[in-house]
Amino acid sequence: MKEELLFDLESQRIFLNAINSRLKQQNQSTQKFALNPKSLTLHKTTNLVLLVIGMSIISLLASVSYFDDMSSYAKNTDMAYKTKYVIENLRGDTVNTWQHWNLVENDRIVVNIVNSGEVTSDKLYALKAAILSDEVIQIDDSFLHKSIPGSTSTYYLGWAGALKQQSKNPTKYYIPTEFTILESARGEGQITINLVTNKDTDGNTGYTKSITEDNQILKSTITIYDVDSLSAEQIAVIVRHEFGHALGLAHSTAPEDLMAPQISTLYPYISECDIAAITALYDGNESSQVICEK
Amino acid sequence: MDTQAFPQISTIIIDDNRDIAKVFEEYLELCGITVVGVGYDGKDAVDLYQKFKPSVVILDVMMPNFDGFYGLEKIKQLDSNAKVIMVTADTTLRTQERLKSLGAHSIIYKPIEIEDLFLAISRAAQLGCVHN
Repeated sequence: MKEELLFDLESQRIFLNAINSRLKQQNQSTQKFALNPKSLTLHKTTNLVLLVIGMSIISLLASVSYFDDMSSYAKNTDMAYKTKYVIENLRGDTVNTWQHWNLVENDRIVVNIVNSGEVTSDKLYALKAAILSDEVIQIDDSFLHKSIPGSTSTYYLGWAGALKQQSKNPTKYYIPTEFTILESARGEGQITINLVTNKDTDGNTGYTKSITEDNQILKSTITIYDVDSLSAEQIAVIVRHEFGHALGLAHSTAPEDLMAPQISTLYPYISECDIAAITALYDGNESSQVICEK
Repeated sequence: MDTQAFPQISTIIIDDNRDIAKVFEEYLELCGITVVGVGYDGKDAVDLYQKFKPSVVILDVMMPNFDGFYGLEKIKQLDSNAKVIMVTADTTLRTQERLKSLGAHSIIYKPIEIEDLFLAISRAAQLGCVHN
């Protein structure tokens, strides 16, 4: 990355020199037409070139601090990627996984929403739907640049629906499919969702911390930051993503996936690949790789 | 080095480094190549290609989120005849083979020399070598 930036700066220097040479030639050939409106256009372009030169100097200076940021970022991500599983699609995208829940069959996971009172009922409804909904939608693969138009993939709006669908396939460990949602300030429940109004100092919108022992999750705590400024839909998307972590998934390298580190997709729903990752995780297939077809 | 105008060539430039994308755009426009769009990741590349169907795509490989591999693969799926020039600092054989297998028209290595760029564009646009 550092080498690429240096090469970019060198390429800029080469092209800025070429632009200057070309503009000089054009200026010389148009000097005798100083009053020609075209010469004014050239001055405008020259100003732009000076602006670009200034920008490249600033970017050179900025790159020093950028490298510092990158090295600290790398240190942080080293911690996040201590995982046992990798789920990979045909493009080489991976969904790393953490530990899983180890429940008795038909056991329910209790989810406790700790609301400081600021979150409105419509936001709470959207949050609960991201967990409990069994709604299914079909999205044309071309919308996510996965294929040419015509083929579709199934996406789930809530984890309960997605996991129930998956549970038709037997796995070594029981995949939780039933959730009970509480709203209590006392912190009970296996998964706690804290809705807070303060902003995260690192700029995160959501954060999930899981406590594990012997490869099983004992407790997960999700924090959603700055809930006042988030819409109901935004909260649903962030909870959908963080709940994936709470179930054991880590991040996907597929940028269009719900579990990508930065949720940038226009279709932030639970994908077939996310479900494949859950299946592998709860099947106890350590160090496995699952190839997603899409 | 001087170049003659490239009539009827349209291109899109995709590079996450906005400074270099701007410099490319400025220089290609000065040389008579129409830059119909500038994007900053592989998804932009796909969207701009669908919108403008340019003669040539200049696509950086290493970009955050949607990288050049992604953009190249999707553009070739949309149009197998698309002419995509890949730009990278990665000179490894593995990357070269991967780009070729995905259908890249040519690969330019950073730091980019003007001659290399124009040779690649002229070949992609099937104009022969037009710089002098």
